[in-house]
Amino acid sequence: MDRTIAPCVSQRTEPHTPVSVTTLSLVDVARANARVRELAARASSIESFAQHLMQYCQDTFRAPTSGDPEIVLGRCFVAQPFSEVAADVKAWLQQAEHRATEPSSGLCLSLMGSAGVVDGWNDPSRSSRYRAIPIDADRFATRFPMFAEIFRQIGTSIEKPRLGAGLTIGSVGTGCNVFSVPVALGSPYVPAQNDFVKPFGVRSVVGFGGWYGRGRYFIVVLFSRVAVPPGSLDLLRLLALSVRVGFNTVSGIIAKQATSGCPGVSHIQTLDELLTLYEETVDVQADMVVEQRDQLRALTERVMTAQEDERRRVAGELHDHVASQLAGILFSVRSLIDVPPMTRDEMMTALGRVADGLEDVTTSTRELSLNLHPVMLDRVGLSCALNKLLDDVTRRTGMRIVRAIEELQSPLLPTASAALYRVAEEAIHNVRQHAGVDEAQVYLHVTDATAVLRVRDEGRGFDMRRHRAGSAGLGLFSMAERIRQVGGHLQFESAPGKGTQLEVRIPCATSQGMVRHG
Amino acid sequence: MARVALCDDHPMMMEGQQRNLEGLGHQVLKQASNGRELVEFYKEMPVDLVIMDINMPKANGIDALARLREVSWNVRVMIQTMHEDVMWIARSFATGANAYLTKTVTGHEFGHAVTTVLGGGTYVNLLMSVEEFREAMQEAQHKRNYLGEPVLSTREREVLQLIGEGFSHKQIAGELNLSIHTVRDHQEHVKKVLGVSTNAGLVKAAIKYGLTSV
Repeated sequence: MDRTIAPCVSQRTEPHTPVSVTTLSLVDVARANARVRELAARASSIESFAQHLMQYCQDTFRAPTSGDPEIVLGRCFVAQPFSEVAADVKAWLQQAEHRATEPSSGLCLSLMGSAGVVDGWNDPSRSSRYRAIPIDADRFATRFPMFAEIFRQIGTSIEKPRLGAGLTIGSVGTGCNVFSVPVALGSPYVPAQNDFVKPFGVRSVVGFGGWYGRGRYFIVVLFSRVAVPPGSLDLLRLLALSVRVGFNTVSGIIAKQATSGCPGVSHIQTLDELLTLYEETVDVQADMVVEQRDQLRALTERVMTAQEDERRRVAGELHDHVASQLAGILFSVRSLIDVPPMTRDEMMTALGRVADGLEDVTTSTRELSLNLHPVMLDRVGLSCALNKLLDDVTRRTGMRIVRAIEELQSPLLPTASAALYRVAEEAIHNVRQHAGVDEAQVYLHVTDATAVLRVRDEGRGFDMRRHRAGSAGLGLFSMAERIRQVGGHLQFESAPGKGTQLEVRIPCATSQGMVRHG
Repeated sequence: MARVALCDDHPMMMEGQQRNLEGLGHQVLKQASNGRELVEFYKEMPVDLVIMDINMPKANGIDALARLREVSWNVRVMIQTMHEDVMWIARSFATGANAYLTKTVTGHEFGHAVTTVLGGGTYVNLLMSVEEFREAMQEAQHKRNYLGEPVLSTREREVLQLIGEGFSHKQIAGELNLSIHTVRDHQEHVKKVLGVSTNAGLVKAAIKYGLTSV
């Protein structure tokens, strides 16, 4: 068997992005999977694949700030028939164990890959104790309780070590398992406590194993300096599957080289393609999520700013107009008391002006208040308030508004009414500001217990793609957001020269039990 | 008897002021509705006392006061406004006001302030610590021509206020008796100083610095 490592594998196509085991994400795992299968595709042997895999884990899993490796030691074993064990390993075994006879199971666990924080750990052939482990009934279970438990679970006839809790094993599909020892210190599953766990600060052990090829089983075990959270363990299942595919690929390629047309290779290829597609998709999706999140953040910020601007405007209006006007009237009335006019007529004229002034203030206060919240809405309902709004617009601006506003039979929730009213108001405002026409159509009707508002113009329209992110996009966004919050849906249709139509659908109160309010 | 000119965008206010002043035996020669109207009037007919608001359309009280002081240091000027902020008090005095009153004063206090100012004194109807006033004053004097941080000339502030109120270049040129070209130059310089690139940015700045009320 070829034990040298193919040089092409060690040429990395991209630099490692360090990832912490503590904050593993789907994207991290997808990227790791891609890398794992790349290693498999280039590997010339199971040994070279296993070694590069361990080296990759060592290089990749690193503490977020310090960049120190999180994996103290990572090892990859393969259970193979004793007869297949390399001659030099058999020789070593004879020397170390003083016997090289076939174990009772007929299997031997061979160390194929090893990488760790101590230099001597980076070459499997330099391992003094674990280079090869015959799997036999008596000694294996006591020397390697963790592996023994895994083999017992996957159905290999090894006696149960009966060590109690502390090791969890879960299966991933058929024939693939992940396992973990959350607390390594003092665990009976991790025997080398004094010369390994304690001095190197091993917090937990995680690993996975699976069948590959014909009757082969691989085990990857990572001794971690940090605790591995359940979320990361879940994600490691994906990595386990990918590594299993990798082992299958490597053994398939080797088999294909030996005997052309090995069955199952096309199956592996398909699986490989599927995984590639999934990894690419995750990658793209992740970028999109980040982009959407940034966009949403920017828009939220702009909405907040707009809200603050609106408050400042109202505060300014209250101070500069209402309060100022009232102060003037107060000052004038006081002067009438302090310096009364000579004649009754003069007094009456002065009082008349006071009344006029007060009327002005009353009007501007009412307008301001109406601006803040349309009181009409609560008193006379949406349809009536909408009619009044359109009347006002026509009166103030001369805009012609063709309308068909139905009386709503089943009432809307107050928040939904207010949202509809506001959106109608803004849509009309937009027609006036941007459409370049002084005519609009407004419809409000109910179908299938849904209130539908439609505002349409035959104006200049706009290119919807170009307006998505701009300041016009903000207006549309805040309208849509407002409607979404009351369980409704808002849709825009526009094209340059084709006018604009806005449609809002909100379920009526009776059917709103099904609607979740954001 | 003093000759007085009033300047406020609320006629009721001026009506009250005039009644009080006439009660004191003074004569009101003018009710101007903005700062520019007042300055133009003063150039034609110098009066002894000017009572002026701060927030007014077209030309605010502070900039009008600056223009008035270019013409005369003899005229007594009393600011009567809604603002109770020490910053506005300091800015008024730094620009050359003799008294500062809020609009909520009684006729009695108004009369007292008028008499004090005409007699050569100074009057403020708000309570504040000497320390507080000194600090605000230092800042206002230091930023004599400032609106917040950026340096603008009186002319530039006048242009900015009119832009903030939605005037066109042509209208501004007419209002300030300038060429459109000069108005544009002022606008460009204001943009540069304030670090804004759009006209919307200028409007925002005009509101922010209190030149334009919304």
